[in-house]
Amino acid sequence: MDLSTLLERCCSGDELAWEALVRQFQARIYGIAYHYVGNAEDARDLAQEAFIRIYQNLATGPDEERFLLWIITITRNACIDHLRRKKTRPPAHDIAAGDLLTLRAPGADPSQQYAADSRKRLVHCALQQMTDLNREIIVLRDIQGLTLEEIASLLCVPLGTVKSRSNRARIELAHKLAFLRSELAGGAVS
Amino acid sequence: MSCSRFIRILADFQQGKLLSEEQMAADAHLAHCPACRRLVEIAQGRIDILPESGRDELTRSILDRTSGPSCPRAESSLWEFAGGELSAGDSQMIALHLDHCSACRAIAGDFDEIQRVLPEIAGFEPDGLFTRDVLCATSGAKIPDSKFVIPDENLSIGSQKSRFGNRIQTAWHRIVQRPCFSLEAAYVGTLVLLVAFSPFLPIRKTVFDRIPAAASQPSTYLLSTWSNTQSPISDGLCKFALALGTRDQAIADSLSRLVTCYERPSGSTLSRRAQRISEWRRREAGILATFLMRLKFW
Repeated sequence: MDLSTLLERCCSGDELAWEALVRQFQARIYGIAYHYVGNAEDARDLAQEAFIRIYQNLATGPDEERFLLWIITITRNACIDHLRRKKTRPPAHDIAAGDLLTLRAPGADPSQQYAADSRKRLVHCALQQMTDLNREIIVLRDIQGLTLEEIASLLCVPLGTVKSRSNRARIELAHKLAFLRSELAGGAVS
Repeated sequence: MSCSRFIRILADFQQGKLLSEEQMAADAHLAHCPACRRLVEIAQGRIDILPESGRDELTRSILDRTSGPSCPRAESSLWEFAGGELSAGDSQMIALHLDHCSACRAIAGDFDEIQRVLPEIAGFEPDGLFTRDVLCATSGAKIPDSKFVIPDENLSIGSQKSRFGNRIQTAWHRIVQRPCFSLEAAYVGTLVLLVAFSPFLPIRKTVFDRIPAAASQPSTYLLSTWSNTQSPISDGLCKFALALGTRDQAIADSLSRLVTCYERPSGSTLSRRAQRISEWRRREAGILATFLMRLKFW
């Protein structure tokens, strides 16, 4: 079923259509959230929060052409709210290392999914070491495949800024990757 | 024709612009001058006398003195180069640069790998309960706790108590984690401090007005006030000093004995005891005075 029909049915209150929509986009939303917060459990909560916001605003949402940008914007806003809250108010108490295992969300951690593929693991680690600004550009531009114009409108910055920032972000990613690779090689030698 | 004359006309010689007499003279010179023959071959590019190791250095030094390093320009196109999105001419120039620049070559190699990997990590499938949780949340239904699923009938009293404790703990954390909690706590704390230590309150005013006098001349003040057992300020000071004197066991013991003496009845039948009490009072007053002097210098 194409996206426009799915959206129409969702707006008319079809639960099955909504479930299909959730299943279609949940991996993407969860992936975006994970790249923003770098934590599987927080990413799960944020993805859920994003879907709730999407559901609440579905009737006033855009058409199918801009739907992807719309849901990415909602997810990004949820992630930024979360990061801002976290920065303002860190956890009131430390969680014991043993409790973390029991508190972890019952799905496989994305970083564990990379364990089998060293290339993905390496790129994932390099992404996590990047600055927030550059990582966001990489996530939006090269992972989610948004156009420069879409990113400019999403981030509310000029197109030229997005272009130059995108280039810098890619260079930084390449440098981080090279650094990690050299560290790995050094570790293997030692 | 001399060698210097030939070098002067070398450019015209290569382009074939010499007159016939000059051309014949140049050919005759080349026939018997191996140095000029080599010069012609170098000028025509048939012989390369620049060593391989020195070429990059020469290029770099020329670029440094002219346009500057070309690496930033190359880096800006490496992503498109790795993705095959550049025009043929640009690709050729980038390839030429990469042949001689190891740093850019490494970045290009990384870009190639990154471009293959990034689309593969665009999405992750969350756990199986995620969709159910989203559907429950959007339909308004109650979401069962997917992390700690414990059947109610199996709960013991102890675990019910712990659940109650957990609920209180959760509620407390929710209160504490509100953004305005710090402001509220500061407000309440300020009110408590004002009520407890405000000099404008009548009771506190009487007590706190007398403390400086007691601290400036403690022995005189204490001896004069302790003779009057009805004076509330002497008892108040005594208890205050007792509370502070718990750090020093000797002072604490002396003060507690002093308070006990105050509480004991005195009369004509206990004249000897009253005398002893009076001595005690003087001695303990000295100790307390010393203690208050310490307090004064804190």
